Amino acid sequence: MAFPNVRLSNRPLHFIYLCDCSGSMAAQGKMQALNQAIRQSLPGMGEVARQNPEARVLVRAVSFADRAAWHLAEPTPVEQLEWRDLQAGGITAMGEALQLVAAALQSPPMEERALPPVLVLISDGQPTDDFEQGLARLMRQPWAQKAVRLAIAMGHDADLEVLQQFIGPEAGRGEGSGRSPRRPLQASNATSLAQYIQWATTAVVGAASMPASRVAAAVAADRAGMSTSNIQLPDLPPTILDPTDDVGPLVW
Amino acid sequence: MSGDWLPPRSCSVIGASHRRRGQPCQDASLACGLRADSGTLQLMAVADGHGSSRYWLSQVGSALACQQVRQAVATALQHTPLADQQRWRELLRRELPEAIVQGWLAAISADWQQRPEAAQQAFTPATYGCTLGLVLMAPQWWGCTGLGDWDLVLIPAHGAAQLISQEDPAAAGHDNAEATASLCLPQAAGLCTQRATLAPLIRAHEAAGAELTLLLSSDGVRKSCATDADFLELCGQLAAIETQAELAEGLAHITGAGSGDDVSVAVGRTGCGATATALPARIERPKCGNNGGDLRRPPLMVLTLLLMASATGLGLAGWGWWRQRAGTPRPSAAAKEAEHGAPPPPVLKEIERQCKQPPARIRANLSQRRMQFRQLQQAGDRQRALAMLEAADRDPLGALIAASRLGPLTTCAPLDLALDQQWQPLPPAAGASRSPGRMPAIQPPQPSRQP
Repeated sequence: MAFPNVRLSNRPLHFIYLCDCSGSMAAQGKMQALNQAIRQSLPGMGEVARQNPEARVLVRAVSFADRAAWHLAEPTPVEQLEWRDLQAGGITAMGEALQLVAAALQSPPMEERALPPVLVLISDGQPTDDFEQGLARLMRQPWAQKAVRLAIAMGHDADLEVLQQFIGPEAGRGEGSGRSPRRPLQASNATSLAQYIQWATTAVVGAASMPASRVAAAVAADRAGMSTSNIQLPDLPPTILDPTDDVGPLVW
Repeated sequence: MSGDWLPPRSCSVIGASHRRRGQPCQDASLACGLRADSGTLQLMAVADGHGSSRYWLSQVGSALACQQVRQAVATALQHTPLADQQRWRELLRRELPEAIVQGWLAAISADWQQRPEAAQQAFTPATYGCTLGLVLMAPQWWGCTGLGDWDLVLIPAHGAAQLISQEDPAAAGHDNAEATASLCLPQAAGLCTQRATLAPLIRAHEAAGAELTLLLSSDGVRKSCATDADFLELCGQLAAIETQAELAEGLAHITGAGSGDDVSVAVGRTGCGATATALPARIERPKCGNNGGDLRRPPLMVLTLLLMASATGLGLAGWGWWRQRAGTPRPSAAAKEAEHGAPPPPVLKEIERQCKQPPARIRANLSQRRMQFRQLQQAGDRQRALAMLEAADRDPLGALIAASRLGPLTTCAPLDLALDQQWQPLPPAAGASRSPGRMPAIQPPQPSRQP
């Protein structure tokens, strides 16, 4: 049954990478591994998008080094995306990157009927600018509060505390052992990085494509710094950090 | 008298996304008539289970919510004459929500005790979380109450559909469109007060033959539409569908081409006199009393006068009072021009563009910018308004809104009215004392004299 003069439409799902391109990313092939992981994830991401026609998956990317800038400024349908390699060099303007994303999450340009966005912060170091201010500005945006915020630490020099601040404190669980998507994901080599990127672009995008309401109390909890997204994050992929798994050497 | 309302209809259809994933439909809906000595009360309701894993029994919660609505309204009807509008207004604001919430909590608790999970897990209402909207239709009035992200649309016989009740995110304790109030919240009954409304129906010979339709829908319907204007157009077409099968087919199409969420609608309509008559072909707006080419003047009939002000403590006078209190009154045109000059050309073009559109579309266009209005209403947000003005090339409608915040604009009457409606002050949060000044959701038509 058709409805004349009525435009029915699926809902946009914005997926935004925030990629550390500081000089340290050039070491040990980290930059190359990140570019490779993102590029390799695109077919799987496209397949998830096809399986969830109610969501229109749109990808953007911010790179940050001496300054933050949009690497992929236009929200691009995943099937049209051709990844241009990021280049490493400079310091780590992570706070500025958060400010850029905050501006993009204002409504408008964000559509009121959009699905909660997915933000993926990837870094191997520590911010060299005012991270707190950038994060505060980001978290003032309602769309950032309800976004799925993930962080991937590349190597052991990454500032896990800062990445955890980006994600928000884990609700109902104390700090300590065990892996959780509500904690920074620690990629110690190219293989585990690729697995995490693949997981974020397929399993998480699939979960975020699912229409589900958020109860106002959960939003209030988010404001209080608790991460209580209604989106149930899928299980993490197995990695080298799993004692039961063996996927590659520790190189970073 | 059996009343001028035809028996309402309702329909819930599983979302395309839920069907694909093998999940149940988490929506429920209800449409029925309840009889009492004082007359027949038509009732319709929609409930929308939250759906994520945290609310894994929300499909049970929504079904039980509809059951409780029926029970609570039936009980109230036995003790309250339908002619007592003041009493029903109070019932919609306080007692019915309280009874429904309490009954729902008892019902979901009883359901939980019968489940094997009860042995391992503590009971929490969140497991059954859902929204609830309900509409009562009596011979002399209609009213609604509830909480959550449902929408209520009024479709007059001759005129555009109007969104007359929607969740105000700020009033519900959040500020984004995706979040919603819920029956599982501790303050659920109090939140219903914000959306409680009773509007009398006024008979008037000027509107003889006029027909009124109310369409209640879950959020999946509106979120399937590209814009609110599309949503209003869709409501008009849904309301004109005659059969349950076609309604289900239409809803399946909506969720498939749109949000993928479960979708529910309930439709109530005044009939042609006391007798229900066959409706004309769908899409075409029904014309009561004009049956088979009979051009005689139909009997005196019903015209709605939407007197929503009393239910929500509203009014233009209060709006002025609020603007004084808000501390950010719009400066005079002269002051604004002196400070900022005339609105930039993109704003002037946008005014021209908006004013060429029908009033309903203007309202819909502005309604989609609720977030901007709310952000600009925050104290000390003059800088935000100026920034939006600077971005007029990129977002001319946003700049128009910002300009209207900074000072009066010369526009056409429908745009001016729509802007004023959007600048209504926020209602107070649950539990807070109600401040005056909120205008009705729509501009009430001029009252007509009784013949």
